[in-house]
Amino acid sequence: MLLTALLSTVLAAAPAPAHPIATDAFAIRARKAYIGAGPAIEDCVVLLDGGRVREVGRGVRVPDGTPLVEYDGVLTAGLIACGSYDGIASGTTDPTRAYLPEARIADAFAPAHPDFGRLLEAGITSVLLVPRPENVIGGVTALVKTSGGTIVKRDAQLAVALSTNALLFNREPTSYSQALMQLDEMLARPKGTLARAKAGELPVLLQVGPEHEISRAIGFARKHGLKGTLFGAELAGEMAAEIRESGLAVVFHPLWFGSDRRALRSVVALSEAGVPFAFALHAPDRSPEALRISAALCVRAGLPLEAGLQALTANAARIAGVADKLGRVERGLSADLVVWSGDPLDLSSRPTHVYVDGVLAHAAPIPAPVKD
Amino acid sequence: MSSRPFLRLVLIASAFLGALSSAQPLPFPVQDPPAPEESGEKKPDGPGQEEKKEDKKDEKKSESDKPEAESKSSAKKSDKDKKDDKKDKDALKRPKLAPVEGTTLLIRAKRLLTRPGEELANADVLVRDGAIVGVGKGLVAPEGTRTLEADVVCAGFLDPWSSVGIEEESIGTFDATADSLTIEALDAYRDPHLRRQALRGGVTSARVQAAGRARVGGLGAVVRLDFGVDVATTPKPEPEAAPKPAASESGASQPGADKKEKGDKEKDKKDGGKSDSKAEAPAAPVHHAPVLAPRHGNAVLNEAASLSASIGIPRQGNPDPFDRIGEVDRLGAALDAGRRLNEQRITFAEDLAKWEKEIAEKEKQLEKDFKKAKKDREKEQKDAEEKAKEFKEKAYKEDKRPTPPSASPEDEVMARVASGEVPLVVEAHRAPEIRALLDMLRAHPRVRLVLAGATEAAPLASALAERSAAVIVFPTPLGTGRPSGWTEHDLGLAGVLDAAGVRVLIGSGGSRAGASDLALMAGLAVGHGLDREAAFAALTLAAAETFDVADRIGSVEVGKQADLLLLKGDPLSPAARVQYVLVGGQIVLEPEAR
Repeated sequence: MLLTALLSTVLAAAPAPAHPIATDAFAIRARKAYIGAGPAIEDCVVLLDGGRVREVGRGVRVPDGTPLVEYDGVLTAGLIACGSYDGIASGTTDPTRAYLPEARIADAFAPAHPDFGRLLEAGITSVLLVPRPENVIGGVTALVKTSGGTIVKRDAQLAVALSTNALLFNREPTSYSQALMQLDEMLARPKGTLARAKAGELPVLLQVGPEHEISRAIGFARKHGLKGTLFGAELAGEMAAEIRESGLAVVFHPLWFGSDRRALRSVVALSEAGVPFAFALHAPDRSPEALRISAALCVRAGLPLEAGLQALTANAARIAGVADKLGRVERGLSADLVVWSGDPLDLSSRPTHVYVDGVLAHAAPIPAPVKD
Repeated sequence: MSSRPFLRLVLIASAFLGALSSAQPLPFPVQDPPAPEESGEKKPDGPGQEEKKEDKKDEKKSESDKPEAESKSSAKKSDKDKKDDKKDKDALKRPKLAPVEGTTLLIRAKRLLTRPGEELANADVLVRDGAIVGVGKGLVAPEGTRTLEADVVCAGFLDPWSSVGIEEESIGTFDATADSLTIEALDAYRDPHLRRQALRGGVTSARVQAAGRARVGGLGAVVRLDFGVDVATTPKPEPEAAPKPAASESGASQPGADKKEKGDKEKDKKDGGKSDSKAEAPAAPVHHAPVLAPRHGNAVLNEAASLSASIGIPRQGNPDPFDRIGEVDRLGAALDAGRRLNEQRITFAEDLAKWEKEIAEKEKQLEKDFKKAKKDREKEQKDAEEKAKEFKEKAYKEDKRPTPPSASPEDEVMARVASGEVPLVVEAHRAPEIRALLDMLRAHPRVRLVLAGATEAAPLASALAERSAAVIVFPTPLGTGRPSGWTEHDLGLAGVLDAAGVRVLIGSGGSRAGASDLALMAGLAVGHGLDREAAFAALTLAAAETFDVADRIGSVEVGKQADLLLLKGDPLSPAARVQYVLVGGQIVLEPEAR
């Protein structure tokens, strides 16, 4: 990944802009709001102060003198892409070394990268930056905002790829068994991030593929007492019981029109089993809309609407370890808010206004017609 | 006879004229200037263009008339009415589909989306023999009619860009010619789960295309996705029980005289381009497609719905810019050949008419001078004998009948495209190629252009509108990190094109699986600026019109086929649930047990 080597270039190319944090209090009223788990609240008022949510609910009184912005739309927390490659102004793989436990993807974060503008347009206010799964240990993931250059969590997870992508023919390890053997050796005398992972301080992001890789990863996590998330486990829903028992969460690859119904059913089944899950985005390879489309496809396949929305907000925040800061519209959390022209998972609606830390970061040029 | 040249001439002439007057109409409307756009169907020995057109009109008329009659008969259900409508009676007799719910259905809708921009609240649809026989409020159905209720009822969607159900090898092949037929690559038993999930997604028909990425991929077809095999109520075809050969084609899931006429019409259309008077004789058995027929014949709504071509598509390696523009030129050359054929046929028609006139005059003259001519000829014969010379018949310039132009099967198809009979679907993505294509097509004003993909078409929107082109938009998952050489796919493309007046269709990109999510694609396009009504039209009537099946599907109107969706929720919303799907009046999907 050569992150450290490229760090200086990155910083030179894209200096972080001074981020305005809204200090003045103001209020937003929306026709409808999904603030967390549970059904929507009609005619919802959000009080904001210092870039955070101060109060939220129906009939919240707006203090005299506090400006009020009213939207005839639907308000949600900002969407979180749980796995993406945006805003990395360098190479994103290092094929020469299999283990990069001390590499931090946050070091490659280029806040002013044009990718982030596109994400904002799609209502995505935070991104979990992950290394591509070409290294057995790809480094430490980070959660960043798409506007303002904030790194919300610098050490989010340790990315471990137990998939064929990380097993190259010209570099060791070349097999699952060799990879597990080497990992076991490293975890027997853990140092640095591995030690933190083993101590349960740093969750792992286990990058996997087919069912047997899911099983292997679950076994690996159990053996070393690791906590965290299965990343890319497409058919996790078919092993829902096993996964629930492991205590691991799941991040699915983004879905698109024409995705296999089996994958959609897997998401629905996992949801029914009560395992927390979220979606990766893999932008900029994928269109930013892939995040919402993933949830919409699952809703079409039978996922409850609320569960679909949770996967893009609260559950994603939980998986990234930032549930105390993001993912819901709740007192004390970041004022990352999106106003949609209609129901957020109805693809015919679009974000009209996007707030990050209480600052209007994006407004649709022409307000989309509001759906009745 | 050969010893009498003038007689020979007279005989030829009379035989020819006799043939014309007795069985065959004049191949062309000789007096009127022939309309070039229809010349594609013209064939020297084929049925007359005008008559053919009239036939079509008549058929259409009878189709639109009949359902009313049916509606009457179904409402009153008296024997007298049945007797009056003989066709109706035949239709009832022929298919042995006894159960009432198979053929008669009443649908009560809270919202009935009859056609784009028009809807009725609390309205009913009456379905009989596969067709819609009544639309309106408070319809009364005969006793015992099965009644379905739904929040929303609309026409089934048409995916204009699919490859579902096509045999594997034929999808990806580049080895196709203009006269390749997609229906020959259709496999009635392929992709049952994909077709089922497409039906579940509300897509009842698709324009399927084999070899869609070949330079020229041949003729695509509009087919119904039930393929006639998934239907639980499908009776076994009984060939010997069929009173008419045409029944073999409609004996599957969809009965009805309506259908039979359709079949004949399609056949007419096909034969019109192929030759001779078969189209005049509906007694010949109808076989729509070798693979689908006869059991699944009614799955094919239009077997020559489009000619597919593609420009700048990576095949063996990425084509460079010159290759890509060269592909435009190649397509242009093929269209030129088609147009030339059309022109030659017009010229031939004129020549033929002239010849007929001349021959008629000569005949008269010869008859007048018959005795003298006979004497002269006998004398010449005698002279020749005396001089031991070979007797040579006197040649008349009128003996030489003009020869019809010869054409390859590819040219035949290109002629139909050049005349605008068959739409031309071109997959092209980059702006320079689309521009070059539009420039090339200026020489072919009658070509009905449908662009597929058209990633970079936004800057050319007004030119496309001027051309009256339609564009099939497919939202790709690509972000900015795309393969080099491709511009970012703009999800706002559909909206931009529609605003410029271009007809927008939404398709699944020639994939096998994408059709099931067509409604969500349309929703996404709306989210990115497409007018909601235009998005609904794109899935229904606009697609049906573009591929010439709007006389049967695409809206909920009396006379059309009952290819319908019964849903809960807005059709474009992910929260919508398709509950019942009807294809040709048959319920092919019922609510999922969840």
